[in-house]
Amino acid sequence: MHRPGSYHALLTFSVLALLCVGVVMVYSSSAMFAEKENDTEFFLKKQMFFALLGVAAMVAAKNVDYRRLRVLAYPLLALAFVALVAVLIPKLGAHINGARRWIRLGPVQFQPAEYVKLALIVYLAYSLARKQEKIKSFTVGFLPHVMLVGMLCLLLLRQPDFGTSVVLFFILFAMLFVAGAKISYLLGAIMVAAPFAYHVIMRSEYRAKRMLAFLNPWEHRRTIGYQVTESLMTIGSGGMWGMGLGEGKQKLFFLPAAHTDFIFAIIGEEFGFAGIIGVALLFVLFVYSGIQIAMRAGDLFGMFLAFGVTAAIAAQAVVNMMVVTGLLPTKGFTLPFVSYGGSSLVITMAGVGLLQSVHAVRGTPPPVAADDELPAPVAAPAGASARVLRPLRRLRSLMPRGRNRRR
Amino acid sequence: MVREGSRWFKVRIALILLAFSCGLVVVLHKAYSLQIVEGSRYRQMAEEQYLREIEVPGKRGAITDRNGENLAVSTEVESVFVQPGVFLKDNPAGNAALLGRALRVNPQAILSKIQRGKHFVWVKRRISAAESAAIAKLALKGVSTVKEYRRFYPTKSLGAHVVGFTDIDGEGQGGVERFFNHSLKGQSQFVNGLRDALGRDVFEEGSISEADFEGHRLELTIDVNIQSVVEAELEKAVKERHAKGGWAVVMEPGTGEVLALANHPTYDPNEPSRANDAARNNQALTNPFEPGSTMKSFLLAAALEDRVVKPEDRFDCEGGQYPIGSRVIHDAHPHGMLTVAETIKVSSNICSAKIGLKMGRERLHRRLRDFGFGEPTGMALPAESRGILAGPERWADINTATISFGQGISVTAIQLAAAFSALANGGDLLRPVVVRRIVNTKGEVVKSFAPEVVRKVVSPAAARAATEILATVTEAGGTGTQAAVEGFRVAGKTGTAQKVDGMRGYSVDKRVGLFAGFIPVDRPKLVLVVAIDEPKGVAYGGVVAAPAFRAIASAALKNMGVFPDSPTNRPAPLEPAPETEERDAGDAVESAGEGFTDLPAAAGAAPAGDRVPGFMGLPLRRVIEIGVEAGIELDVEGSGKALAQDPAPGAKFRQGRKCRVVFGKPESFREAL
Repeated sequence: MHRPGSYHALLTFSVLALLCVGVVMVYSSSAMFAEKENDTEFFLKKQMFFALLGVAAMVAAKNVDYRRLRVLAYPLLALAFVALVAVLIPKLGAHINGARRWIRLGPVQFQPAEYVKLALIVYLAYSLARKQEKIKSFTVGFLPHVMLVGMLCLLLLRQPDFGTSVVLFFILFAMLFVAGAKISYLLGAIMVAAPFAYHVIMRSEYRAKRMLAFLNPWEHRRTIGYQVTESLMTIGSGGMWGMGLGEGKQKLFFLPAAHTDFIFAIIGEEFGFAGIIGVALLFVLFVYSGIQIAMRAGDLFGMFLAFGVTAAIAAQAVVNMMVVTGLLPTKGFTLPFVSYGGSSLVITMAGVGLLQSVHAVRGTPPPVAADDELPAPVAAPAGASARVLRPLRRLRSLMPRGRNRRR
Repeated sequence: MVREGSRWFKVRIALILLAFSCGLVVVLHKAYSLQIVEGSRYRQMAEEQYLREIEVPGKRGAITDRNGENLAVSTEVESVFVQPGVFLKDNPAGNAALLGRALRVNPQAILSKIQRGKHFVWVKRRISAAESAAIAKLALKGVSTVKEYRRFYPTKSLGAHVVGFTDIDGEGQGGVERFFNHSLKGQSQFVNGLRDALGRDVFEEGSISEADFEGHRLELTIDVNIQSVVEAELEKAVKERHAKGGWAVVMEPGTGEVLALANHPTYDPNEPSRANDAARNNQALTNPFEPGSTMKSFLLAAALEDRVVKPEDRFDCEGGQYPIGSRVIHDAHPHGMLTVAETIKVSSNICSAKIGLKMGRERLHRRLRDFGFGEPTGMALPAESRGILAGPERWADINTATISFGQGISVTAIQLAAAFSALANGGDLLRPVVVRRIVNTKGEVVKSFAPEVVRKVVSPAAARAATEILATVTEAGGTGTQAAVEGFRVAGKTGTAQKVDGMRGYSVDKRVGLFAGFIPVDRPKLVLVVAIDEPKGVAYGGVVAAPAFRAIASAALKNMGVFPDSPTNRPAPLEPAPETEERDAGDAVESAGEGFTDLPAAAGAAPAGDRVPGFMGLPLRRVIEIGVEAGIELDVEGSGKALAQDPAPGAKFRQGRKCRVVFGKPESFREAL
């Protein structure tokens, strides 16, 4: 069914559906709040703008052959470092709520952390594909990547941005895991990182409080547990079918961040359990599409890239849902595609564009020769590439649309 | 090596997918438990914080008289309020000016009120239709209207003290409006007013439904026809005597139902704030006064019941002065020996005191208590006074003596009415009733008030005997002839009491003149108490209150369809003057067998034929009594002893002419002339 250059239908559908849900829910949850700005459509307009910008970013990224990114992997990474340093510079970095997370360039605000995630995925995909043969070695396959992410995290923690640091480590571990790194190294690294993370959490008062609020929200209902308990009440109010679009009451300033981090709760309130299942299903479709694209990727770089993007978005979605339902401590994670937010939406859509690109260019001649390119069908698989190729093909056969149509 | 690696690869992707799936399943499971399993609990918790129960009182039930005539109704109006948080955001000064113009309220006042307010500020309540149209046209942000009800009293001050009034929030503040506030109010509606986390009210449009929550309707025992006669006659009597005020109660002796209850001055419940406290006060229940000689009616009944005296027993009236301890009891005019019946008829204080002393303080106290004095009647109106009746252990002989003729005891008009009802109905003290029924909006009777006997006070025989004697009061030679109604016999008693003046004893010139009784004697239909408070000049109950009694009684009986039985009914004189001689003669004949001493003769200054009697040197009270008996209309001036009169004594009296009598201290005699 694949025609080179086309969009992946299911992926496109799921992403656009989530975007639409987002625009509607942002409007519903922010209208009262936006009255402060004397414009109930304030956030609606901005979200529509960013959604369109996101779609543009997706189209642009899709039309760029992802294979060209190999060359850009290092420059993009370097830019990530620059951005993370820049955000710490007083004049450039905007101080909001006790953290420097935004770079202000004239009228435009930009959150480097979002970009860093994507840059890291691109770099890791490139690096893991290139080092595939030595992936199991500690010094080549494991340590350099860990050190790189460690450095990024050190910069992130200066903002401070613990959440994105955790996301970066998750991306790293997931990609290392799939690329074939030794489980023992990964487990070992987690063992080493755990006390460090514990220290970071407990040293910071607000993180410690979030922990407490998570463990026993109802005891702290009026104070630190407020957001969680409000969120639980919000979702609980929805029942099976919800109160109806726009009928939710918790967004009347009861539930903080109703249109950003906790928009999932408003979905639960206004559309009930049915709405939650619906959104979860859209994410399942997205992940399914992403993994399918990864499995069918024309090369290892493409496969790792697609997997990285899919895993990062999926993980963020699941973590956000768990936070909102009180299963994880409060973390500044948005629900991808749905929550209000400019940078994250545009970057996420750019990532989807890369997925589309991996899907689209499959079977077209590569613009640049690469060492990890999947061999032509006639050529017998050999060496390290073959180790990846065979299982890939087998996996493909597991997927409904994964018939091996390649010559 | 290859096989192993490939298997691991597959497993690794699968593991990642599995982790994602697990995460989603956990989320969905939690959502299921939050929304489906415990959904209602969480919803309730959420509602508790955002649903502000905005209470909108239901339409208040109407109040009608016994015939269904509306005395109080509620009409729908709008009230304007402002949500300061919204209003102040956008040009508050300019909008306040617009608002002020539309509502005819000072814009500065509005603005400062809004600035002080938090979530909700009334700007103006109960606005007119034109004003609500203006508000709707302005459509200012943060300015809204809500439907409320305004209480309207179509008959204005008619029955105002029974009906009462409501405050701006529709809460009853007097009368049955207050006493039955709960029934009238019915249920409040709780409008789906929302509240955001900042505590602001967010109204949902159209959430106020039509009044399904209307309160119950009260059907009073009051009859507006009788009530309006009572009010008119009371006002007339008060104005004629330049009195401070007056009270009147009309009661059905068989049921205890109050047919009319009036106070003067009165007020318009539509605008209660325009009247002062005294006018709004239901003084017939709240203001106890000394009943004076009316109390002798109950002394009589009690003494007959306890067989302390028989009607024909004779007592020595000591010629008008009777010392008890260090005090001396006076009679208005001196008498010699009088029977018990005559004692009541001429209202002798001395003989009454002797009867009371013969009864003994314990028995007298118990009987008066049984008649309901010293305790509230327990009727359904607020702020009722119990009156003053001290315990017998605190009575010296002088107290027993004075209480026997109504001094040293305070009663309310309603207590008097209830006590006279007991005499009228054969001895049952009934609890006065002002509300007959409470009816809901469907017309079903929620509650009806049947006559309630508080206790049996005296036997029917004693009541009957007392009634027969009381009937002589309005007959010739009695003190209450002006209360007589043509074609009926009236049983009643006059009373004139000095008012207690603060802590210092009795006032020199403040009196209450009253007449209380019932009609017709043989099958009483009405009990009527009329009291005139602080009349100027003459204060005798037989003069100031009795005419009003007569006017009210005759109108009320006609209204109730009660007509004289037959012409043989002993006619009571309507105009006493022309019948004076006849009447006196009749009385003399009738009383002869009982050794009746001719009252006018005993007074020593009785009119001879159609000659003007001499009043010189007599006290005011005596002059009035003689004038009343002679049927001479008096025009009195000053106080003290009569110093001068015109026409002179013995002059031929021409009918329709007034006799002017000037009173003063003897030394001012010269100036008076």
